[in-house]
Amino acid sequence: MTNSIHAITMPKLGLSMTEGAVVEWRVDIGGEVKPGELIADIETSKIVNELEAQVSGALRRTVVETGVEVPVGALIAVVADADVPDASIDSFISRYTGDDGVASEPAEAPGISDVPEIQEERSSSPATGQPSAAIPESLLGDYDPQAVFASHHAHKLARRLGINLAAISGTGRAGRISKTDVEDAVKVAGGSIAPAPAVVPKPAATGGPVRTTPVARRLAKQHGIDLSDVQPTGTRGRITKGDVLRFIDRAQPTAATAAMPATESPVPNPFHEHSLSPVRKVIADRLSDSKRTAPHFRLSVDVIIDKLLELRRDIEQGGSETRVSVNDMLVRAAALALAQHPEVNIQFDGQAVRGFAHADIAVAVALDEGLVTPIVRRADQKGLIEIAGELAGLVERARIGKLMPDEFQGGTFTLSNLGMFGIKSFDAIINPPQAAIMAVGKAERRLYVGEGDSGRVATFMTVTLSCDHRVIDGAMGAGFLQTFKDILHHPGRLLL
Amino acid sequence: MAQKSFREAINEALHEEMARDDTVFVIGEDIAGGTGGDGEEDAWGGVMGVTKGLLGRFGSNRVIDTPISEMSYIGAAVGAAATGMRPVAELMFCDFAGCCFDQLMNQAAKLRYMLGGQAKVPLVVRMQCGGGFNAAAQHSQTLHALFTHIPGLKVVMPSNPRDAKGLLVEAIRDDDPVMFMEHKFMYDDKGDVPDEPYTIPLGIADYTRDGEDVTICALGRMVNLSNQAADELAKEGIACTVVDLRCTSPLDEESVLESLEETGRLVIVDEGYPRCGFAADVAALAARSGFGYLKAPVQTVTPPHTTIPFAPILEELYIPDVDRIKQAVKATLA
Repeated sequence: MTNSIHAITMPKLGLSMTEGAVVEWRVDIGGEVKPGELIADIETSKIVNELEAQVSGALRRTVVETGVEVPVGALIAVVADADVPDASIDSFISRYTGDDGVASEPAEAPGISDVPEIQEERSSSPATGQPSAAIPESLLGDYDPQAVFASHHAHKLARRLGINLAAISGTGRAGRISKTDVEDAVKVAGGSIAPAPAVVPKPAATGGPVRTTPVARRLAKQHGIDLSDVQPTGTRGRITKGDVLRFIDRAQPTAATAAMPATESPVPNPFHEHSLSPVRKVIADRLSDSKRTAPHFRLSVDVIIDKLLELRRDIEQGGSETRVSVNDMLVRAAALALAQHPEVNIQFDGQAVRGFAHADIAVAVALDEGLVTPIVRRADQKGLIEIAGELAGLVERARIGKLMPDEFQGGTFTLSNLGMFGIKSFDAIINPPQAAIMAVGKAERRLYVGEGDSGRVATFMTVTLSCDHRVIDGAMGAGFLQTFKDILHHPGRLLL
Repeated sequence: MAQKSFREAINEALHEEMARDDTVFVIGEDIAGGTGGDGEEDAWGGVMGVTKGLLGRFGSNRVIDTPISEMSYIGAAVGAAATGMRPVAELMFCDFAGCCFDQLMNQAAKLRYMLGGQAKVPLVVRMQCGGGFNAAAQHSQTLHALFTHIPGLKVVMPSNPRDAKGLLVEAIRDDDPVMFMEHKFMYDDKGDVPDEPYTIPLGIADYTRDGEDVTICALGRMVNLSNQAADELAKEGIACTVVDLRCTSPLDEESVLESLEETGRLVIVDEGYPRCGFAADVAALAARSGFGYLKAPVQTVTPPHTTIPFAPILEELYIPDVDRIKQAVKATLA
């Protein structure tokens, strides 16, 4: 029967994918699937992919809940013919072993219960005093220690029990008499020295799909602890015995808190807790890594954008079908400035600096699930209309979670614009392996001191560049920013 | 009994064996001194003075200076051994084994086996090992583990002048290739050495201290540090057995396990790299065959798994010392 039961496992959708979550089941339990039909949506770092069936049958069981991350290769569902009994499905699931070896083993794993464990020290330990011994007459007597080649402990035992070592033959290297030789000789002659150590069977280990050490698993079971609450510190993310013990320690109220009168406890503030989504996790990991390892410095500059806005109006009135936004113009301006400052158009992995021939500008897009940064490739070679069209497509695909990995991975520079939220200015965290990111604030009318010390009004925008000081120095960043500002002050260049 | 240095003990063993058996000869870089140059012959007797006086007594046919090519003269020594001689080659530093490892690993170690016992390779390779001389990463290693890993090679590391002489005589008379490791820090160490020839069998350990609380296993110079630690601990009421293994191949497992049975506590001290090394090997022996005896986790005292630093302060921290041994012993009692 088993050969008509098929395991559906978490697919590996990219080289770096190690785990994923089912976002949604596309088939109800009991529903028929055929090869090529959708079974589920799988979410990995930043993308949602569709999982197609490779086999036909009914979706009999889903093993993971939606939104829960599991490793690549882990069992997520079972497909089988409708006439396969439920019991067979259950036993298939309980016996299933994934490719990565993370498997649920049956509760009574054969072999494990046979492992003997020595419970007590040998009762004949010399430290405890006289070993109980019965030495046959034939072995008793004195001997010349210089004339007999025996180990230190063979001599020692012989002395204590009055054994004549010359009467015993050695089996050791170069004919040496070992302590075991003495013990064996006594036994062969019908005597005894010490009882064998007591042996008790080890309790059988219980199994489960959680990444833990066997001891931690047993301990958690004894204390009724849900292992998913325990913070793992072991190798490959395993929960160790120590982790469980720490959890127990923390869970137990200390004497002081236990003694506190209940009336004094404050009204608890209800809270909701959830684990990070894959997207959030990637953002958290990458940005904390960036902030920790890259020494950031920031350069701010005020740009007057009246001419830029004028140009944009002209383009709009020119009847272009594609709407060109200020942001599109900033992408083009940054790309042109980077073309003139290749020392900023780089990636850095901590070891080597990669200088790029073209500017691939990543644009930060805020989604409900978190930030994504789709990339306009070779923006220095593309016109405003092309950039605008491409960026609109990328943002649309990002919104519905259909970006391909190569549409958001890489890039040589990032642009982040929070102007639409009324933010005056801010600084951003570099998006590794890039070495610089530009943060754009809102456009606003400001009074400023113009020629002849006269008060003037213009539309300003504050731009802040964050640079990785390991590879970009202040003057390099400033030079780039100057060029960028210059382009915006003479926006006709954007059309070249 | 006469007090002799480690250097004199080895020199005496070479003199006696070369006089006893004319198939014994020595070969190596600068062991006679002056060959091919204007310098004085036998001025030093090798870089450490170990071969001093051999040239005058046995002549340049049996005391052979070679070009600086470990590959060529170790290869020549392997060939000579396979054809009936008993060469004692001097590899100036064990670190240079890299230059002649094929000759040792694939030829010397395997000929007897591959030819079904029709050939034997009665070769001795003497070499300096050990740190503490500020001689930097390529002249300070203790590579006994490297040789021990190869079946067919015997590996000896004496801890005192008396053992050095007895073990070297045994190694020369042994029909298999023997790697003989001399710690460069110990050439001036003195001890009782009998004048007459004697041998100490390979693979037989010596208890240099006897106590029932903790077993300390060591080799070469580490035995002396362990003895010192044991003596200091004895004043605090902690009695240690120090097992001087003398050889890593063959290994005297019996002497380790018998002592462990008595003490239930094991510390292993080694100057070699820790990974897949002597300390790990003996710890595995205890886990495999002495598990029932153990009352506490086995402790190892080794350098960290890094290259030997040149900076004297770092080198001092790197090499195991008496304090670290004492701490390890106490850790087994904690």
